[in-house]
Amino acid sequence: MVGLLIASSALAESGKPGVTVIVRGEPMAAARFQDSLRLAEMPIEFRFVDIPNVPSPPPERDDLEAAVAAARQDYGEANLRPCVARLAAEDLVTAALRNGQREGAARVLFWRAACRVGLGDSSVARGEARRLGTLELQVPPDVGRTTPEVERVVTDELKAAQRLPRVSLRVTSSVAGATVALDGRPKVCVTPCAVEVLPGEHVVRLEADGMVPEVRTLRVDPNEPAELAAALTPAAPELASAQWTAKYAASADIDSAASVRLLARAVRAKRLVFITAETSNVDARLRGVFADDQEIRGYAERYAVTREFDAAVRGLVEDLLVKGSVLQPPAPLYARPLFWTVVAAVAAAAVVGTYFAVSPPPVHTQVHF
Amino acid sequence: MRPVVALAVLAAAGCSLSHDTTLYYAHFSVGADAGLSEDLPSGFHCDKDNGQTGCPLIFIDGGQCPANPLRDNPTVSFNVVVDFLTNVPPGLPDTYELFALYCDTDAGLCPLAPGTRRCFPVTLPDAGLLYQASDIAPAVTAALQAVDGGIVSVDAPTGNVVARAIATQEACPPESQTTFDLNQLIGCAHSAPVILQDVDTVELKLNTNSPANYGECSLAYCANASGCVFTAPPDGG
Repeated sequence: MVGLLIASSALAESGKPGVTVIVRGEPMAAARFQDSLRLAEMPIEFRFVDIPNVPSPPPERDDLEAAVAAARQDYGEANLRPCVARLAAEDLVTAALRNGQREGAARVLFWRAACRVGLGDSSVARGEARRLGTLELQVPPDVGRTTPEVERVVTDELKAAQRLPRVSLRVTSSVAGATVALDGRPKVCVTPCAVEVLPGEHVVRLEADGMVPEVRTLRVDPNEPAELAAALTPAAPELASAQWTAKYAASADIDSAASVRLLARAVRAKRLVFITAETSNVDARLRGVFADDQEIRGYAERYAVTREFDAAVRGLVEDLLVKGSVLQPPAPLYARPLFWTVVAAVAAAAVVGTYFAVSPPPVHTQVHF
Repeated sequence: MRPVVALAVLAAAGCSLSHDTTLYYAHFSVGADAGLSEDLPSGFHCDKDNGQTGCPLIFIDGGQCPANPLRDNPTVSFNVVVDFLTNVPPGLPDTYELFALYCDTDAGLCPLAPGTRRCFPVTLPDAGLLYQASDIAPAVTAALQAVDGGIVSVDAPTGNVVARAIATQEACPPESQTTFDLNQLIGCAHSAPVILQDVDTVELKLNTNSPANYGECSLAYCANASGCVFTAPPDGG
């Protein structure tokens, strides 16, 4: 029998330690697991939570696509000022890069340059084309629909940008291991890390499980190493749920440490038991992982035939909670009072037996005629 | 610790054993040829080592045996003094027939077990009719058993001992008195060295050690002044 390890800071209202349980598997299997755990009558206040399923919001593409399409139409109709105006908003490019839409960002910059060339504003046009180069974006196929002058301006600035010496950009974050997306290119490195970039303006996005994504726009000067230190803030459970759903729900790493940590944040669980139940008509395989304060404390696994399902559930959860120090392990044999009582009795019997074997008991002899 | 205590109590309660040992006078072993039944108690008598039954040591019947002055008395009273001799010499044969015990009191051999002397006052009416050894033994046994059930000891000494019974007309002597008045001795017998806890019966008789030497069947030889069975090695010993 296991005993309680009292941790007053984590007691539920009932006075028992609270543990959140998530079971992944067929609905029937999950329900049976919960029933078995309730029947186990363990000294734990279990909270059963459904597995999160929060889809991520779709990327904001409509405004960008619409603006580019309208600008292209304006350019074709020689309405160059409206063309410039439609694409004037600066955050169009930043938003596109932040969302990984490098092609969209390239099209915005290209049509800005084209419209400016049409207006004879060559220097601004070259600036937009240069930015296309420093961001190392591909020239969009739309180039065939513009004038040779536009094509020349863009080509020249791209070549000029490529000739610039690259500069080191070091990225650090308050949470190590954040993935770094640079100018819309995903996962260029993992913090802390450094990347070589062309001088100019860049968009850096940092993402980490359970943290709010951080997007920074910074200018990198020529010949001067740059550094970006980002302080990531913890994500709200809703965001963590979306992150977990997107990253792990359908992944083979669903019971990995990273997944369970994120899951614990998503369901607001200080202590989380995450179970994967694979059942058939005749048997069940149960895998479990326990996390406390988003730290993995242990894994356990049970295989059981159907009639032993309840015992397997109890054994699995007890095993996990013992590994997590929520429950004390069963006392070893030598630490049980009964063991020493038996040992003492056997020893005493051995001593008495040996005594009488070696020295027979006294005999009171009556002698008479 | 309670089980240990319980076991100890049980062990203590169960470890004290009782045993019962009967002293009796030697049986005739000559069989039907002698006209006597086997295993018939014969009383104080002296066996000769030639296999013949010796003279009774009480109320001997003349013939080859010395006459007993009490022979014709109608009623005889005497005391049977029973002692246990301890620290008997080592190396003694444990068969009675080969038993030749001598004690050297100066060497600390054969002291009486302290507190074990027991005196039985015996009165035999019609003693004059008891000529045969086969008559004497039952009469003496009955008289002894009439005294407190014939109990010699309720907790006999352990180890090898020699049980000795001396019939004397002296008053019952204290243990400190180890000498007997030869003129008042009327019988003597002893056992082989024996562990009383290991046997149910003990024979008391007196063997000779020298062939055809009735002298060694003498009472003085049995109950010598030192209180030992023998005071000196037998001839040739």
